[in-house]
Amino acid sequence: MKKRTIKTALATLVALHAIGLFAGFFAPYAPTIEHRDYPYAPPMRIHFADSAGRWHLRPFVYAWLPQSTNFAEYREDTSRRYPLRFFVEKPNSGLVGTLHSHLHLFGVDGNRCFLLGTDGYGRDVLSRVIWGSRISLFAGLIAALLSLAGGVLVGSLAGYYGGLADEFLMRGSDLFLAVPWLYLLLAVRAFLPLQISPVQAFFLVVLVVGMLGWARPARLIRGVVLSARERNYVLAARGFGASDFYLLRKHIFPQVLGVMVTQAALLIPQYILAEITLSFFGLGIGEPVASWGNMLASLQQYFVLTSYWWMMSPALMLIPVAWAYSVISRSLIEQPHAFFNRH
Amino acid sequence: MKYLLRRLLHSLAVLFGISLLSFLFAGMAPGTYLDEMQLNPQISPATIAVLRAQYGMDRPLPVRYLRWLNSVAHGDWGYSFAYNLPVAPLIWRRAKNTLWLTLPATLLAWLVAIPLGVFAANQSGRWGDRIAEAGTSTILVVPDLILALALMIAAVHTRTFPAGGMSSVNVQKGRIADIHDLLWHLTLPLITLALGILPVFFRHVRAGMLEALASPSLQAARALGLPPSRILFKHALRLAANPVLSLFGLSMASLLSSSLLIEVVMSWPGLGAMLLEAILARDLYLVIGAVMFSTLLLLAGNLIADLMLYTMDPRIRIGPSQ
Amino acid sequence: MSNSEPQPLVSIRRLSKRYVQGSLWSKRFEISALKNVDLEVATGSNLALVGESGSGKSTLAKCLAGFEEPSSGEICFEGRNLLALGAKQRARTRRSIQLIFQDAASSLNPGFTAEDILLEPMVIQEEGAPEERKRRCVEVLEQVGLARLLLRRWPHELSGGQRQRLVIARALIMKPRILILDEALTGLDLSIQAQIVEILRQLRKAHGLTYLYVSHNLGLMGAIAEEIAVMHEGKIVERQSVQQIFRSPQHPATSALLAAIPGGSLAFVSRPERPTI
Repeated sequence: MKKRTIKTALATLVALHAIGLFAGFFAPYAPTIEHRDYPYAPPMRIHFADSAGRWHLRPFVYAWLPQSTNFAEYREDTSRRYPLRFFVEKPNSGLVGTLHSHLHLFGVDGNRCFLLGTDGYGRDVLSRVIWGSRISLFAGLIAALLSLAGGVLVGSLAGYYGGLADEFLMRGSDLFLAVPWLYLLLAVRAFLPLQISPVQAFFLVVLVVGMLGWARPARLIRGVVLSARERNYVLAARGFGASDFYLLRKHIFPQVLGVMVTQAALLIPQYILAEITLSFFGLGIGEPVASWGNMLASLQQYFVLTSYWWMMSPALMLIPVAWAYSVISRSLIEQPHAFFNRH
Repeated sequence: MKYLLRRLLHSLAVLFGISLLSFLFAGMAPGTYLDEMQLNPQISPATIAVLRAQYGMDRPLPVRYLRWLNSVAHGDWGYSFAYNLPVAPLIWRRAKNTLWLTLPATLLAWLVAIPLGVFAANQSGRWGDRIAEAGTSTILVVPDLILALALMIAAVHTRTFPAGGMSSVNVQKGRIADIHDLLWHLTLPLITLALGILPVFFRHVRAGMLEALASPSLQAARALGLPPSRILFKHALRLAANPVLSLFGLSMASLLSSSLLIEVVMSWPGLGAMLLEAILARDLYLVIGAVMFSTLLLLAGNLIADLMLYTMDPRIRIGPSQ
Repeated sequence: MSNSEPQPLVSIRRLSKRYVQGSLWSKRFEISALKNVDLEVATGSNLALVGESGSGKSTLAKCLAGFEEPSSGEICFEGRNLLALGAKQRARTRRSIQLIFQDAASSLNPGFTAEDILLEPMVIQEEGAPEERKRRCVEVLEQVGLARLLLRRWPHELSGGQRQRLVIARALIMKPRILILDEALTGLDLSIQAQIVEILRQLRKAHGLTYLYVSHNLGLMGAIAEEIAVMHEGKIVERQSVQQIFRSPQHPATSALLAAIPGGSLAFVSRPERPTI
């Protein structure tokens, strides 16, 4: 794989996470602001030429004019142009605290701005996609870190001490690997409360997804520790009187680190999808908080699926994420020296 | 043979462990179907108490587990609150639909992946290989959920395939018409599932073939002047069979997970869709039954893969030489 | 048997080692790797332990170096039984016995520079100020004939011979009395073998080191050791000077090892000036 591809993938991920973190700045609206007059408004078209055929340097949008005859039908009101402006200052209503920024990347003066349309409550889809990325991307990230922590703990215990502890832990991991992943996830979710607040739901989802995934990393890490333990340089260090802690820290952990990074690149996208799947099924993070999963859930309604294609936007966001992680995990597996070479 | 017997015993132990674990988790569950019923003012507390005793929900967890084991022994696998029926026949009906989906999808994926993988490996580095690689990589980065949704939208707009379900409501009855109707409904989920697993299969076949083609025995065959097609399909494919069959066992897990997702999105009445319904209804034994059965399917798939490896690979059949 | 030395450097008595095999689920059975082995190594001697694989020679070496715990018996170093010592004293004695493994590449952590590798024993033992440590690194490097430029290199940037010399240098840092070389020359090119043998010869001259070679290759050992002990099925079956072993092997296992030398054993013995270290 070309170095440029890997760099692009890394940059994509950094950019997406940054946008999620600073959602207040990048999103034109708060995720929960409802424009009840504009349910299922289609994405506004960005124009350069007005209805009279005149060209303008600054792109602009027309306002949507709801049609009184039909629900959620709109026509462009070409009587007035609303130019797109960058770095607009806009005091926000609604939530308070750090969630909000007065400065937004872009917006239009004197009118609404729905670049990706709105949902059934008239909430801006673009804003919700941006706010939802914060939930969805970070849920996957944190859950993966949890799984890896569990995997490192179990794997190094089993690999380093061996014997009965190893036997017990590995038989345990057999159980967790024997159930198809999604069945396992749903079943465990089934035994936990269904009606909870979005914040509780976030932590619950992260915990459940993270706790259930320890088995595979644990097995891999056990293998690495097991083989590292038998390496001659570890024996030699032991011969010089090294303690278990020293050996784990200096000789074994650096090797485990490589496996952990590779595993992380494989687990994170899987876990992002896990959150999305749970929320899609109504078992994850619920309304009114935006997550890519619960945004997609509305597509389970036939009329949304057939008429409002922009509701698919969060799904499209998943593609660059999945691509970037797959590039990184593949290059980690195929050419680890590109990442770990110290010179 | 001893090896297979050990695998079988191991699988049984795993199933037993899963059932224990399920009950431990179930014991932590904050509510059951009966608790949800309590919220209904039309059902008297007395009725619920009677039901609770009837289902044994008033007993401690170990007793419930033993009762459940007993019902497994009788082929019932517990009792569903929502359906008021034994779990096993309910699951079997739904699992059949899941198998109807997963087995043909696997077959389809292999039928595409094997020739494509052989072709790509043979073309290694040239345009044919690159196109196949780019195509499968593209599919690989599209999650199943999105693949399913996108195909649904396409189906709805083009009106070529029904948007979900397993059968039409008003169709003329008749064997041929029924089968036709079933196949018509099956096509979309089938294609989605097959597309979802295709990239991984393709990569494995290609990698296995590349390795086989580089092996000394095939280099020798080439040097002896055997025709390329014979080398490719007779010798190389046989060498590549081992890793490919191992993958078959491993892919079962992701196959069932993908199937669950597709069943829900495309309203295919399979095991996965039932699990979701059971969860939302807090139908405890049905949840446990569905999980147990999915594990059973996975273990069976692994055993079949082992069996195939065993019959195909003399190294495993005879065992390592001393 | 007369003993010319006042006290042997190492004396092993009735040493046994048994391994228990089998997991939690399968039947357990025992393997005896060493059966009541007696062995004395005099200070300054140059002894080779030879035997086919599975004869127990590596186990004996590992027990002596402290990598394996014997099941029973005694290992006396300078008159003190190591197995009866406390952990602290034992660790101190252990420094004097250094084992060098067959595969130099695997004895070096690929993530450490040559300098880190040489510093490691001192870091673990927490001895010496930074300058002192550095000085000793350079000193041992010179002893094995490596340039100090190599300190910055990673193991994969070194040649096979350089790696083996680095391993020997690391062992020397601890100022050992005895070096156990477990197949340390196996797998090296002939010219590199010769290089290492020459370095070992010089080191012995300079520091009065004692060598215990462990190898399956009787031919090679005949060329570099002075005395040979043959191991077979966990026992030492014969111990003779090199000349004696090659001229009149007593045990069938010795004969078998002799027969395995390519080019015939006699070629070696009949050579008038056999180089010894």
